[in-house]
Amino acid sequence: MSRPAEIVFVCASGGLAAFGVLLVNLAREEVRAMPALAAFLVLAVAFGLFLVAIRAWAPDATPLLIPAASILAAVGFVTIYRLDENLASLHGWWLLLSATMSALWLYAVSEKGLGHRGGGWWPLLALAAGLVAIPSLGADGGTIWVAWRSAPAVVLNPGEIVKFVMVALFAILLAERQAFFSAGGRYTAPLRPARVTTVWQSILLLGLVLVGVAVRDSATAMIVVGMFCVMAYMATNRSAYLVGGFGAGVLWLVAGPWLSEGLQTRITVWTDPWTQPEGPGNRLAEGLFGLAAGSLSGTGFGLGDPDLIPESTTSLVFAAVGEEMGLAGTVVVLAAYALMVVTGFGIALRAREVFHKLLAGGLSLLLGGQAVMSVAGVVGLLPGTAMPIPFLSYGLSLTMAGFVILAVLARVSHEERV
Amino acid sequence: MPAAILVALKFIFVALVYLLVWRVATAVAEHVGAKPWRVLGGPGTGLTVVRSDTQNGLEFDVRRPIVLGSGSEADVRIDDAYASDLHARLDPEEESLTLEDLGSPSGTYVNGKRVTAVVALSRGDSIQIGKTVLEVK
Repeated sequence: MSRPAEIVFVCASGGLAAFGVLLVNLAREEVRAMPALAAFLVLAVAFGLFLVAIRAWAPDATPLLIPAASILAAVGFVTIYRLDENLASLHGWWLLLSATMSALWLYAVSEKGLGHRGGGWWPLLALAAGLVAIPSLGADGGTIWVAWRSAPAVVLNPGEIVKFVMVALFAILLAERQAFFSAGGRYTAPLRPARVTTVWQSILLLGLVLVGVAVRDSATAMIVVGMFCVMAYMATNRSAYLVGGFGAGVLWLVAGPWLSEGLQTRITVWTDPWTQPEGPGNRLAEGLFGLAAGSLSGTGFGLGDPDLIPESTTSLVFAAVGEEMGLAGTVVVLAAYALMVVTGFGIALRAREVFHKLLAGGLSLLLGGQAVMSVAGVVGLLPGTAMPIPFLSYGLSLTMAGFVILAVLARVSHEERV
Repeated sequence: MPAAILVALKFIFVALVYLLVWRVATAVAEHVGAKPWRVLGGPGTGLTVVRSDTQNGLEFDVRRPIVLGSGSEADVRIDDAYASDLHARLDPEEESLTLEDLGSPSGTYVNGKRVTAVVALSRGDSIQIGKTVLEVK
């Protein structure tokens, strides 16, 4: 794909969003040009800005990153607009803000590159720990998000940023201490005892951060643990990490219900959502109803009832897409995700530095893993793990994390090509 | 708005998404899976100096078109009195790495044969520039 083709894609995604918004308004028997024009401008400006930043500060990056993300963002924008116009206009601002922030990040690393990490990985760990602590400081202590009373739609979900920070942290830790992890934690010659102690201290701290995450958001904790196991496998080629991760997941499913009442309810609902369709089973049941109503080709934008699905702009956005675009729409959304992940793994495979490999591989895995877990939660394959999907769902933290992941992948791709 | 038109527009929207994703898919397939030769840093894209007075063991990957030569403008400097300033050009093409002599008086040799046109290189080929010998790894 050539660079001009990228520009075509950016414009096409804007056009797609405008077309979708027009369809929603037509279904409401309204002909309004302004919302469609605004949708076009938001998508074209956000991804156009990001494209300009990549050309300026990561010019050798693969041109395959932006197209799939822009298509997903267009479909997501139309779905959010169909459900809540005010939320869509906020989401437009989040897209623009996220694109600007990731462009600034690309500028910040353009001089010294990704290899320069200043004080190592301790600042990242401190940031992750701080982000985990944020929700408990807010008015709704104990939840996984922070909202402002004056602007309830502006929600900050630090968990989204924590996942990204953790992947960066794992990449640095595994790249710098590859020998330690390859030896399965035993003392190895290239590592002096002092360094081994540092590794154990860091693992302990990671554990504490994970417990902090797990208390509020077990799905995020599962993703973070899974990420570590797969990335450790990527770094060391030791399948014990995969087996360990799988074992921990099974143990969590078996022992979790005894430890947490919330998890017990989730598993009960997962095994039979129809016994309590108006209670805790409401999310899963309505999501399944939405997908069933969509059937093969969907009801069409503005013609279904996705507003009956709870959290349809965030965690259950896949069900809302399924209702109005049908199986055809959900398949193409998953295909776009798969292409983003494949592109990310392509970057990881080409990378020569271990840190770059792990960072690109880990972030691709994060994108794919989050989409898979979200969809699995919506269709009932996993208990209550429905979580928002980057680029498709509404959310500032989520959109920001999505754009930053793209920016990091672009930077790795650039540094490996020059 | 008649329902039939809305249904038709719905199909057009989904078809457009498919069209765009299909275009991305073909581009990704070209880049990632379909041509493993193009995997940078993979077999056949790197060179090692195997015989030289001063550069034995020097390794480099060809990630973009590069020029070998003894001059300061060459991308990879060959420390050899018989090498021209800009001696030969290596290019990671679609199918394989290619080599082109840039009109050097002493010539460039691949597996002992003088290069007169653009030649495709394979893993294990040896390239001779002056007294220096490089091997495709």
